[in-house]
Amino acid sequence: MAEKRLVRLRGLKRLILFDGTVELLDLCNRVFADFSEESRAHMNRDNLAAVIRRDSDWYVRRSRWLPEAVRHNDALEAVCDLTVDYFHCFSEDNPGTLCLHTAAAKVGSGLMLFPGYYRQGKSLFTAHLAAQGIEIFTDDALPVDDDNGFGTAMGLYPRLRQPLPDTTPGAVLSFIRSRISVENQNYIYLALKPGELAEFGTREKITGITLLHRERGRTAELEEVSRAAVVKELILRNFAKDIEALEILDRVMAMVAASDCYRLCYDDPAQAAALIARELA
Amino acid sequence: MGSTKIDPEQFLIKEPTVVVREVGDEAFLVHAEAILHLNPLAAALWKLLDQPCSIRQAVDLLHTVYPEASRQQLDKDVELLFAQMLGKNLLQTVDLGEQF
Repeated sequence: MAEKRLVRLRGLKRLILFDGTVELLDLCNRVFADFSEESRAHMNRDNLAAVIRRDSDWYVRRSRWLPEAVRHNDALEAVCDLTVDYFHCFSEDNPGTLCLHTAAAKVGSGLMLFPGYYRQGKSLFTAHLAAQGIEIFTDDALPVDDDNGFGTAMGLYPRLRQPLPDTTPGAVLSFIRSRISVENQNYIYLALKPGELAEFGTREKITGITLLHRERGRTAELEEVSRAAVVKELILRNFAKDIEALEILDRVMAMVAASDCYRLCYDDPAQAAALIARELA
Repeated sequence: MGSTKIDPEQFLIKEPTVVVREVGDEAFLVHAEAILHLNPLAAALWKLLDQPCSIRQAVDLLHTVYPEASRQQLDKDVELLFAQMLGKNLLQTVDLGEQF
């Protein structure tokens, strides 16, 4: 009979079942940084967020948010994908919390958001910020509570795509290589140190929002941006489903009104991160 | 979203349940759990629709503000915008004849 282990990721009320896939727990520790195990006596259908089982050479994951099972033949990919369920579950377990696809870092006296769409390079940019000594809250997703616009760190290690760009400066490469938590041919997880990555549960008031605009050959520059453009971007980046549309709009507008807003145009993320560190940190 | 051809003399007015929030010279509308963004031109036209307004009236007004703009282009833009709004149930048609 396959060994079963129940895991509670931090911030979730529901559990992840590793059914015959306990070898993934070590990888979970290198991605999620912290979790606890629960007794199997706590397991029932209603409190499971996701289940990962083996099917021959495949890891098969089912969750409340997947229309059908997802299969991976790489252990790290199977764990990587759990972050999707993690944020969906967190959003449901904490109703009223906005969940934004955004990088976020402690810049100056508060939290700066860097919203961007999938594959825009938020994670690589985040790594460059960390190399500049800026504390990271997230490279991907941020819960924002209703308490006057505070973002909460989830303690997940940033994930970079491989291969890293050839133009990555030597100092940043050294920084990244010295902090690899786990990697495969597609991804590197960065085990940032305390002070480099905010601990799970750390809250900080959102005081800045910078839209990322990548453009080939562009020297890094901070530009003015209309607040309406920032509101629109944040609404598009919200994936919490239980909040009514008017409340989403009002909360995002309040967040934007209370923040310094910029557009960061750049080609080289090292140059862009140095600009943020120099001008705003 | 599909749009319907509108008679340029047809009067239209805002659907009263639509909520508007202004951000600078742009606006966001909330209706039926959807959020829609209006650029400055659309936001200005939305304000006109507090009272019954036809495409022709809207274009006449815009042409006084932007006399250098092509009237033909203004006709097209306003018709398209009003048709999209009507298609999303943000506007109602008004028959002024019935009000008297």
